[in-house]
Amino acid sequence: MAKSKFDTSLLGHIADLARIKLSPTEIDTYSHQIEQVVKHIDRIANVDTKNVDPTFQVVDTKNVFNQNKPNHLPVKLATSTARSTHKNFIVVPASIEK
Amino acid sequence: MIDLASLTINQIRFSLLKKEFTATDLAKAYLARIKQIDPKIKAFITITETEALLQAQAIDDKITKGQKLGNLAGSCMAVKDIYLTKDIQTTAGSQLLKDYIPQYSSTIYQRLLNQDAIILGKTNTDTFAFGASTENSGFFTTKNPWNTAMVPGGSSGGSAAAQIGDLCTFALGTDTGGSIRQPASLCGVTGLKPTYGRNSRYGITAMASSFDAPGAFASNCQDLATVLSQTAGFDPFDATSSQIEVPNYANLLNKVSLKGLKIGLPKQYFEGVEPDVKARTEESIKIFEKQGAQIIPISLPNTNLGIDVYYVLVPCEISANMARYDGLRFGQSVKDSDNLVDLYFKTRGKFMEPELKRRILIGTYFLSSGYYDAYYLQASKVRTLIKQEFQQEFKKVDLMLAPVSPTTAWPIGQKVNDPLQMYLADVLTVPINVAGLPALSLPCGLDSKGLPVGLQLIGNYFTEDKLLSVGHQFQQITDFHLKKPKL
Repeated sequence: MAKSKFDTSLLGHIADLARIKLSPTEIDTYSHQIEQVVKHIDRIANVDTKNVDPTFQVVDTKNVFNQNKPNHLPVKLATSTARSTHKNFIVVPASIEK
Repeated sequence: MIDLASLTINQIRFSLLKKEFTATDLAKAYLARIKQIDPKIKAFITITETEALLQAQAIDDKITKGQKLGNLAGSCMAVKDIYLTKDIQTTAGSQLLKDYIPQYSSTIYQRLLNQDAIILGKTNTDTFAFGASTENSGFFTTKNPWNTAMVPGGSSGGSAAAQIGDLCTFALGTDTGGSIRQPASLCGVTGLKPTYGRNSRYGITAMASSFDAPGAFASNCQDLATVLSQTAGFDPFDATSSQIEVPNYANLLNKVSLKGLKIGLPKQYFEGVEPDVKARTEESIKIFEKQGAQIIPISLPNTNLGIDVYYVLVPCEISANMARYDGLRFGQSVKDSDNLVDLYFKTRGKFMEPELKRRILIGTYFLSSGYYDAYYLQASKVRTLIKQEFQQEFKKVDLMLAPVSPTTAWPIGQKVNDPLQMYLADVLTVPINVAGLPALSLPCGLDSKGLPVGLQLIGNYFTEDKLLSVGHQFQQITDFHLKKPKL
């Protein structure tokens, strides 16, 4: 089983993946707290799961198909909670450098 | 003066038709009580006085015109603030969604409005329902009405506190790992976590999509049955909602005879619980036994692994679900960002509460390259073992009985800085969510400190009718559910 010490450098990497800016204090606190949680959970590796299928849905589900008809909020209403809009579009900060 | 403490859903409808009081009288009585009591317990984030009075007036108009009334006419509900309510602020207990006004409503809430229920307000919750005490709310901590120095449980702690405080007729919650049953137990009210898929998840902020189970709190099983009969059923907006037919649960409350009922006691659920919790649960077992139920010891050896599976899979699903909170389409966002990615980092860093960040970070870690097989896949396989273990034991018994929580309510602040201890508070509720089974939390007495104790009846898939029937009959011969705190 892949195990690693949950230190501050690993937490920094994970925070980057999760796109959350953390303060140095938060990094210290969370790395300690999360290490405790992960340590507790690590015992799950000892369970014999050979030939056991994973469960992703607990009750048997089947595909559900809807009629191919648009059924959505009007664009103006759908964008009404956005921080900034322009002609029915949501305005975002620049994503490409000039 | 209307006696709010003794009202049931059926009585309210009956009283409206007999013109004993109007829906407006009732809504005003609840709103007055909220104004008097809520400052002490802080159950509500938003009080919807205007909407409540408008809805009440519409019901009174229907009565005047002789129009047909809905099945929940006049009943006043408190709604956990993760249910989207059109035109009413929905915060999910997080600063991230402060001032967010949804453009549409959750299916369950809408179905209840369609039956002439009235909304009184939105109740406090741990941020996005992540927690067991409401201390993780981005706004404030709700206090347990039995002792305001104690937590009410969580995450649906605001709804449970409103229910026992007589601030509503019934309340809505969600149960991803115990968030209905545990606060119901800690506050002394009746709460049902239905089978996964029995109630639609549409329009409820997603926590863990393969676990989330919306449900309700009430004063008794009869009211829960009435509510579930309206909320349950397939919803085209939630592909995982079940197409299994919905019975009229309220008509089936005497369906199951306690005589000869096979009740399984999973021994692992009685290990490590406080003596008072164990004693009250065992006293209730004797009550069932006296009624002719057959008590059968059973074993669920993987019980302790439930918490491990839960705290792998749920943060993984959370990390995926929370990716949508980018600060662009809804919710709060920072004003000073250099570019798009910077906006994501700063917005999520500034407005997400600590528990929200912790769970996203844990889930991101388990799903990251090199760890997926060891954690997510392994936990998904152990989930299968837990599910199979329940199915095996349900061949021997009709339902299972166990304590809900290893302890009664604990002091505010005691566990808030120790996430692992807070997670372990869910040890007796999460295995049921891992398997997706239904479970009913029933008050069963008080501990030596005067705090409520709850027991849970665990059923096989889609046996809510059986659980509610057994719970109803238990409440016909006991008065634990009628006990109220002095407020």
